[in-house]
Amino acid sequence: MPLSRDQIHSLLREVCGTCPDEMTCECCLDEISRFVEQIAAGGRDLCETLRAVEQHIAICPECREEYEVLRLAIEELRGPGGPCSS
Amino acid sequence: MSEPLTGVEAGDRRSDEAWVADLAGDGEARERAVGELRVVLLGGLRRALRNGRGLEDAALEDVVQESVMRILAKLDTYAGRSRFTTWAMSVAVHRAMSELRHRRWKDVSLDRAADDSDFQPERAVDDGLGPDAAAEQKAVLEAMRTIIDRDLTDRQRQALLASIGGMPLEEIARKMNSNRNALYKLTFDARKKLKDGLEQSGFAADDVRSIFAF
Repeated sequence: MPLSRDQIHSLLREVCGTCPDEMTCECCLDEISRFVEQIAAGGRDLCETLRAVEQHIAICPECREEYEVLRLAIEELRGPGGPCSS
Repeated sequence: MSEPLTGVEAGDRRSDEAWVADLAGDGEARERAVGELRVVLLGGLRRALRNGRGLEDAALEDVVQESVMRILAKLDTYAGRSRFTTWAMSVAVHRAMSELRHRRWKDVSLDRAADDSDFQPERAVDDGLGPDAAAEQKAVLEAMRTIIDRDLTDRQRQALLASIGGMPLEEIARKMNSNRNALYKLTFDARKKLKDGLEQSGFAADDVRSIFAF
């Protein structure tokens, strides 16, 4: 099946965004809970490790998807009436 | 003996330290903590995976059960860098998404996902551009096509094109008898070759972004 224009453009973006040292999926997922909480708290002053997480999820669609689902899950849990609401 | 806490009460009252201590312990305290953890994980996954993305209830229960086992097995790796419930939820999300991806892709062969004819540069030139702008885009895409054909190994080419075609790295890894980290490294090496090759062809990353208005 031919790649669509969007898919080819997506490949170009990923190629352009490739950094010399990238974090692996395993390392990203080890830090993803910390990243989700810091982003949810509005923190933009990310340490080097979390900047690497941010770069990785910009490139890796699966880790990006897991970040989004985790973010939603935590929002729901911590929202009013959720099982972990404060 | 007091009544077991409900999910709502459990989340409010249990500190990170209490979660770890009770789950690492034994007896009634551990059983209660496991039960409460199950409620938290199930609730979070149900809410996050609704709107058509989800697993049916029985599958979600299985995912949560497997996730609880995994969390108990790696409890000593929780370093307190996030709240315990966030960390635990990340384990459950990973398990749930792996299950969803496998269901979606298990019957799709790697050959079907990508083959050498799939990269057709002419499909990616933006419509409505002037002739000079269109020629620039075409030049970049032709250079990409050349690098893919000439510089990538067969495995790199197959993994990269399958990944861009939508197949998750985890599924590509399964079909290549490898693992997700190794596949990420394989596609990373392919992207580096593409980036270096484009630069050698006169197209640095900023040039490409400008030509395609990214």
